[in-house]
Amino acid sequence: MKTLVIITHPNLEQSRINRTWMQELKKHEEITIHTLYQTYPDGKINIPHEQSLLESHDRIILQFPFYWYSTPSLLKQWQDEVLSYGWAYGEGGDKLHGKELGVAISTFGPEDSYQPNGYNHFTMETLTTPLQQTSNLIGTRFMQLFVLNGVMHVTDEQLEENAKAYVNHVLQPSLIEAN
Amino acid sequence: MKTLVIVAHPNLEQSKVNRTWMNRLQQEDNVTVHNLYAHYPTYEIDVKKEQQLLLEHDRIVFQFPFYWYSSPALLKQWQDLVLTYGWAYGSEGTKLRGKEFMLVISTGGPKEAYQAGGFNHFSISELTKPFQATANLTGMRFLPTFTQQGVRFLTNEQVLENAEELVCHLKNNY
Repeated sequence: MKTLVIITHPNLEQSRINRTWMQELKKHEEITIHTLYQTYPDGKINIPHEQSLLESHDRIILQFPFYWYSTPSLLKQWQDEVLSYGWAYGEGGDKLHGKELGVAISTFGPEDSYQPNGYNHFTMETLTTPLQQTSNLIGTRFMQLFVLNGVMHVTDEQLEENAKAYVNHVLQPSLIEAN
Repeated sequence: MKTLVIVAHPNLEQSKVNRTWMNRLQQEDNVTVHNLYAHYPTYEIDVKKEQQLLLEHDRIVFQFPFYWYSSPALLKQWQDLVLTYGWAYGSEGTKLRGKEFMLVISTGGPKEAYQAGGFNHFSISELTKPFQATANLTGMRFLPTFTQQGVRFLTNEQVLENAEELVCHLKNNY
């Protein structure tokens, strides 16, 4: 099984969590890492290239910091442009059918803020409903969320452990073959 | 009360519903229509100008076609850049507090698709929770969403009627 991790962070060099996650992923040659802002600093996405990357992998992970309870804008643009009608959905749009789609998200707000009585009011599962439904429409199997909340309060030791857990998550056995 | 309608549609000329809505809203007093893709074709958003526009209005409206169960990319860029820490949120970020916030959304899928058991599984209220959370964090009151669904099957008369309904919805007191 081939795994593609698409990292979307506008300041990856200054990011503690997303950069550490990426460095841990890099220890595993079988994972393809694709950094979106670094590949397309001018925001002009090469759609055929992106589609061919998706076609040549079985599991796709979208890794990003939570911006306004959603993806950073370049990843939204990637969805709008790459997941096209007749390719990813609609008539003849079956190119991603049977693949697995996962999301890995870092959030500033602590875990207990993403609860009905917390200051963000809604859970991560509720807020990522658009991504779950995107997965439904393109015919991919949606993986369990991988989330690290409260990134300002994560110690270096915790982050090191978390990055290992992240790699285990990314490399877990196929959900589809297990069925 | 002054209302700002931020329209985000990458192909407004080819859009029936969003163009009709925009043209109709432009006829209203105290409604400012702001065509985002026309202003920023290269995505280089003037943050200060956008923040000033927000300050001058009491009710903020996002009008857009539903793309992947969310806003088109430029409107996401707008959120990421304009709603800054210390301005829109955080202990000092109180500039939008007390304003009202509304979504106006067109969808290709019909209304019955947006429910459990339907083609899209989730309701518009569920799928727009990120916007509701954004309103909460910036201290704006989230108003009922106006939706027009199944837009491909509408006649011209229905679109015009629908634009009148939008004006009522937009000007209502909540």
